[in-house]
Amino acid sequence: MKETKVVCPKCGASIAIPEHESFTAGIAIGKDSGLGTVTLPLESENNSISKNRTAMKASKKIEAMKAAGIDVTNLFAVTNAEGVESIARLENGGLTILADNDPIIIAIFKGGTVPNRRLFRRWVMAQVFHMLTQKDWKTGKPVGFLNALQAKGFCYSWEMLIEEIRIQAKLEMLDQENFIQRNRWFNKNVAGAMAADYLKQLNEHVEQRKKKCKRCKGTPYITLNGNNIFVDDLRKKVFNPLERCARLIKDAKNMTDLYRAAVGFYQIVKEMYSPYSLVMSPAFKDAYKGAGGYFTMRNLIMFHGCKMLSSKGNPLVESSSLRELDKLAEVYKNGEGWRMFGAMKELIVNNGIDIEAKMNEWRSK
Amino acid sequence: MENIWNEAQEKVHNGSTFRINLEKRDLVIDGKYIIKDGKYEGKLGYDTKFPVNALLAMVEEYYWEYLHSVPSARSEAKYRRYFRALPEHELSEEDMLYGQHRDITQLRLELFILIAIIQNTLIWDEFAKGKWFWQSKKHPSLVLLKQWIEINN
Repeated sequence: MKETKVVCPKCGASIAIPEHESFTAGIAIGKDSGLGTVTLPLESENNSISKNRTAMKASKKIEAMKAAGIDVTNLFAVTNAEGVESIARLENGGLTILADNDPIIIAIFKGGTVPNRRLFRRWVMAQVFHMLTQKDWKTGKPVGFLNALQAKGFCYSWEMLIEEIRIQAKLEMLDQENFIQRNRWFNKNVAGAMAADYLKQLNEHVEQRKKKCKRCKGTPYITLNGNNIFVDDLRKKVFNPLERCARLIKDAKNMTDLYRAAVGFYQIVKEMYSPYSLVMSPAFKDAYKGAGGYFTMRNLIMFHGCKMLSSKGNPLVESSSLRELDKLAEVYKNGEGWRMFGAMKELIVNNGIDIEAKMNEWRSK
Repeated sequence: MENIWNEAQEKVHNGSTFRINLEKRDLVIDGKYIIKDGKYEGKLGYDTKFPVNALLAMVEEYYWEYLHSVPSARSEAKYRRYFRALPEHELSEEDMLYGQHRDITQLRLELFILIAIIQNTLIWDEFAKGKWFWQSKKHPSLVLLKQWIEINN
């Protein structure tokens, strides 16, 4: 069937008409209709028709605002007699309709920046700043970023990874853009490398223990985290289950699979051997630096007026800085997170930010 | 402890857990009593012999640091707290970036009050006679209860 079109005889512009044919009661317009000048909307201007403007349902708008961290407890989706949905705000006992030109709604739907910094991982930036300036209590000297990370304990690395994978599993379905940004640093390869590194450290520990193993009725056994295990049973009870989980991590097809495999692996880790001082995997440290550097830079560029420099050394505007940042991230994503961290330090220096001076200034308020 | 004020802060800075009970005059770090019923070994490490107005001004300063401190999962999991600090979503960008850790600011605030109580320098009748609570004018969310300071009230 041919598509029906109404066009202007002069310029050929398409006049907007409804999607579907319907029965309506109406009148034919004549010169004596007394309607004044009637302007027909063009198809290309369809978005300006008020019915289409409300195409995004009020309840969905409220959901979007909620996701943006805005308090929506006094907002309601209401429908008037004509079936047009609006958002109403309950204030001092009265209900007021929130106009579509409300600044918050405009800010969200114009596709610009959502006016809520929590969405932009400010925790990451705060943590990076604190870890960069962490000092030894007695000497007052900076401990260094990696020492500050190791001071969180070995278990932190797995707990943080699992939480990150859990969130990524959700983002993979709902928000590809954010998923890509986060998956660059913490992904299947990092989890696999962490598992392999743990198995290596566990093996070394077990070999050390075997040298001084105890005996039960002549059968040698060792103790792992309070569990007595016969040396002959080590493979069956400790290494095989761990290796099976490590294989599941490597073979994971999506983040949900990876999450399950990582949780399974960490459960055995906690049961068997997870001392506080066990060295974190280099793959984790690198990913941590990469993610820390990347998201801190994004935050600095978007909210603190920091600018990246072009190859000629000229400061770039915000959008170009972000593009440049993403280019860097793509280059450094596979095991070169430490370079991203270096780029972050450079950005901080180039933009004249002295974290320690700012901290002292803030604390002496 | 040779110097309770300094060493307690160092321990909490390095990850130790602590609990202060103002009514009972207790300080517990990592499950061990450092101050019990107002009695302790070593020195408190802080001399609070100041006029009561100066003491309250210092309490307000420690409270401001606590109010704007950066929370952690552990600090937020604490069941009992004497004072309210700002939740994460109410903290400004500067608070998040430059604020101190909540645990250590909480320790400073509560331990300072405990030391002042033990040294008998924070005398209730000198700043809130006839009242059962004192509220700071500078930070209205800072409230001291008489029952914390005077045991037999």
